Formats: sequence, structure tokens, C-alpha cells
Amino acid sequence: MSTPDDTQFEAAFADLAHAAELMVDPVDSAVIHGRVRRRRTTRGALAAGLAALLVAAPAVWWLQESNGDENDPPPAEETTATATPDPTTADESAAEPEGGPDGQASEDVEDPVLPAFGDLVGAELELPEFQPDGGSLNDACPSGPATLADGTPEWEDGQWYMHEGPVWVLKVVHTKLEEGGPTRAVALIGCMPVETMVRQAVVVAGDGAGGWEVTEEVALGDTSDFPLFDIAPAATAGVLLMVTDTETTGMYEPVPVDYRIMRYRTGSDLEDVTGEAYLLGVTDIEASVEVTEGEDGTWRIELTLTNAGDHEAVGFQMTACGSDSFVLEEFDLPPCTADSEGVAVYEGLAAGESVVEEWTFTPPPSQEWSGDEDSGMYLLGDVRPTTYSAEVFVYDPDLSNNGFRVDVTPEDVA
Amino acid sequence: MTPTRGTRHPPAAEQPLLLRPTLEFDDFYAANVRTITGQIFAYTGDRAEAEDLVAEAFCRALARWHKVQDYENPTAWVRRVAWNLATSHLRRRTVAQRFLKRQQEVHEPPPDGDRVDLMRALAGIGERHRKAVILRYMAGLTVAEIAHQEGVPEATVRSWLARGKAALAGRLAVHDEMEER
Repeated sequence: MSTPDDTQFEAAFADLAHAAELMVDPVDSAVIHGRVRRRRTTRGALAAGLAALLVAAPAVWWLQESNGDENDPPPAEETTATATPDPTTADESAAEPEGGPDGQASEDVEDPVLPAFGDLVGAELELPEFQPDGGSLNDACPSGPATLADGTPEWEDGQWYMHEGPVWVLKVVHTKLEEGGPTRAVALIGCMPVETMVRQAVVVAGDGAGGWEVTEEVALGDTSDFPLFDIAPAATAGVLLMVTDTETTGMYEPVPVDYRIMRYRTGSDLEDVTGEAYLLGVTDIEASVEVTEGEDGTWRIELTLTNAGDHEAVGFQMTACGSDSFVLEEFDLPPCTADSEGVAVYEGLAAGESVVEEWTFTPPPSQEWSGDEDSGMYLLGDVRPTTYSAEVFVYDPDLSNNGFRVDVTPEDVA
Repeated sequence: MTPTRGTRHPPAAEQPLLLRPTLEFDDFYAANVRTITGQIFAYTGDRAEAEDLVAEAFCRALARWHKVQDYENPTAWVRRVAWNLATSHLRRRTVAQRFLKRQQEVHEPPPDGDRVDLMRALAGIGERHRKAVILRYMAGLTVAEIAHQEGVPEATVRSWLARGKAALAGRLAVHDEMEER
């Protein structure tokens, strides 16, 4: 089917827009006024504490794949105590729709000055220098101020790390940084002046004038001694820092790149919690491929992607490409001579589980192969974690088993 | 991106003091909330979620209304905040849903007829492609306006649109073929 023209798209979407507008049931503007009024009146210290508890509790619950010091009690105990309605706003609450189940974060007390990821894209921030004492790195990585660009790799383009370019905002997590303290937003910022990325973690809050400002420096990474790679909320209080043994950009690594996890809490020294921290999202994806030739001349490729690690995989993506004559029946295999393209993204895989892709192709006679296929047709692919796609760490320490390849020689089709 | 300042307000004498800002916001809200919520609904596929996210965006607008109302295009500001919230939310939702499992997710029935296919097809394409297509064809933004909102070059938006349209066409074709069988 050819791509419909703009007129067809406009007609179809106009129809959808009309239907969607009729379906939605937005709250009355009085509810918006009520929520904003309550936020203003509960901005005091006590309310901030309650807000932190409510906002943090759900996040804490799903971080329970932890042990020892990083293990938390069920959130219900923490949240039920905060469910008492504010008597000063009872009339306004009545106008609101039904709230979520117990333990859900309530919009009514959510701190509105915490930036989400999207809030920081395009924002100007005065950052700590990427290299202290005025090193040359700062010329390529402006920090005073830096205009932050969206550092989300485009999986459709086969990206799994950001290239050289501006200062990227890579991730934002919301967490308490001290026991009983307010919820804070910690941003992971990166800059890649040459082939490696240097990252820093900072606390960001509203500046009171509609913009954002850094209120606390959490950690400054470098590419040798402290390759800061990722951040995640600590299960109790603090932000976890994943520091890899060597700087990694997701390129092929022949040996595993190990890591340690440090915990930052306001006013405390960094603490190594590698042995206790939850490792949800840190696992090893393994790719294997099997090819069988059918009697009718078709070949079947069975690609198995297995979570060979000990923890749930949060998400991973696959790129693949083929030589000119390698045509799959299931989808258009991008040519290896063009820019890399992503062909699939997966949202999660439990430890020990696999997902299998089955592809079919019929090799043409070798005399029809293109000039660069003299030694054979080939299909190449790779799998990588969707780094920074979730609040937890998303990391595969062993990339040596993530590639797959299918070769077809002239002898195979003789 | 900093929204640009727009036209000056009418003289103070023309404004009923104190009440005027509230009325302005209410009018602004009434004129925009359904449209933006519909777009976010198409993006997230979850009506209640879209309503919550857009309500939050309007809360942020009201909290800064003395500034936002002076922007050249307050609607663009709120729309951008809503889309940012939705994007951020979508990124975390998958993980949260997999591991929380604390509530049964309730999916609203999609619109009827051909719109079902379009909603399904939208849900199956890449996040950025989906966003670009919705902003272009549901919100009616130009390529330049989408590029401005997303902070990317126009060429990137054109690429997203081309890929998004091709992906949608492919998915709609699959649905057609399945229905014909």
C-alpha cells in the first residue's frame, strides 16, 4: 500500500480529533483553581514533607527488588497515614474526580516545581563546569549556561547512545535525597566532545520565575577515574549513581564492563552500595541465531534473544541490516551500506526468558548477487538496552554476546 | 525555549480588577482543554491518563498565569507542557506497569469505526513519529512549529513525519488485509 497523501491524512485525523474531543471528559476549571490554590497554601515545610512521602512512595514500591539497606517496607503503611483530607479544602476535593487507589501519588500535593524530563529539554541551566579548574573540555561543553538538548537516542535510527553534539539532558529522576526530606529532581547531564561522554548529576528545581536552576551538585563524572554512567532513585533516600569501570558508549565491547553503585545523600559522603542496591534493569541480553533450510528453497532464521542475566530487562532495541540480496519476507531489511536503522524495540523480559523472532528468506541464485556479495550474502544485527528509558538503571554489562550474523555462501545455494 | 512576549494587555481601566485574570484563564481553559486532551489521548491511548496530564499542564499554566497570559501563544505553551508531561510519563509507564502491577489498568474503548484502526496504528508506531503525526494532522501545526516545540531541526520533523506516515500506512494496510480475509 502506498502512503496516503496529506489530504487523506488530514481527513482521517480531523475525524479522529473530533471523536477524541467528544470522548474526553476534562475537569471543570474550578478544579484547576482549587488544585493550584492548595499547592500554594501547602508549600510550607510540613506539606512539603507529606508531598515527598506521597510522591516517593509509589516509586519506592516498584524498587523493591533490592535487599539489605536498600530494601523498603510496603508503601501502604507510609501512605495511608497521609490520606486524611485537608479540612480547608474539603469543598474543592469534592469537585474532583475519583482518586486513584491508596498509595497513588496525589496531584493535589505534588510539588509542581519539580521538572520532568521534558521540562529540561531546551532549558538553559547554569551547570557546574564539566572539567573543574577551567580545562579545555569546557570549551566544547558549555556550562554557563548550557542549553539542554534531548539526549534520548532515536531507536528507529539505530542509535543507542548520543553522538557528539550539544549538552544533553539524559535522564531525570525524582527522589528524596535525605530521610524525611522533600522530593527532589536529579538530572543526568552529558556532553560528548570527542568519542567519550562525560556526565554530571545535579539537582534541579524551579527558579521561581518559570525557569529552572541547579540547586545542588551531586556528582561530576570523568572518563577515567569516575565514569558516571546512569542514575536511579535509591529505594529509601538518595540517588544511586552507576559508575562503570571504563567509559562505555554502547559500542561493541569484547569483555564485560563492570560497574559499582554509589549512593548520594545530601550532606553525606558517597557510599558504595554495590552489594545492597537493587539491580532491576541491569542484566545480560544474549542473541543467538539458527538457520534451517527448507525443502522448497526457503530459509528460516530463528533469532532468540534471551535474558541471560539475573534481573528483569527493562527494554532493549535491535538493529539489523543485510547485503543487497538479503530480502526478508517479514519486513524490509535495511541495507548495510546505508545508515543504521532500528528494526524492533522490546519493552521487557524477565530473567531467564526469551523472545524468538522468525524470519524467512529465499536466497536468489548466486549469479544474481551484487558485486559486494562475492564472498556471500549476509545479515548483521545487534541488541542493546534502551539506556535512560526508565527511572531504574538500564544496563547490559556484557555486550560481547549481543550481536548476531547470518552468512550465506555461493556453495550454500549451489 | 522561552515563549515570546506578545501584544500588550488592554488598559487597566478596561479590566475588572481581580476578576479579570480568573475569567481569562477560564475562557482560555474552556477553549483549549478538549482539543489538547484529545491530542494527548491519541498519543497515550489512555483517556483518563490524558485528562490527568492535561489538567496538570493547565495547573502549571494557572500557577504562572500572570506570565503565561502575556505570551504570544499561551496555547502553544500549555500544549508543550502537556506533551512534555505525556512524553515523560510514557517513558516511565512501561516500567511502572510491569513492576507495580498494583492496579488493574482500565483501557477506555477507542473511538468507533475507522478510527479504531487509526488509533491502533498510532499505538504501534514509534513515539516520536506518533507525536509528529498527531501534532501535524490533529493539532494542525506546521513543520516549523513542531520543530520549535520539540527543539529539533525541521529536517528531523520531516523525517519523523515521513516515517510515521509510512509506518501508519503499513499498519493500516495490514488491518485491511486481515479484515478482508
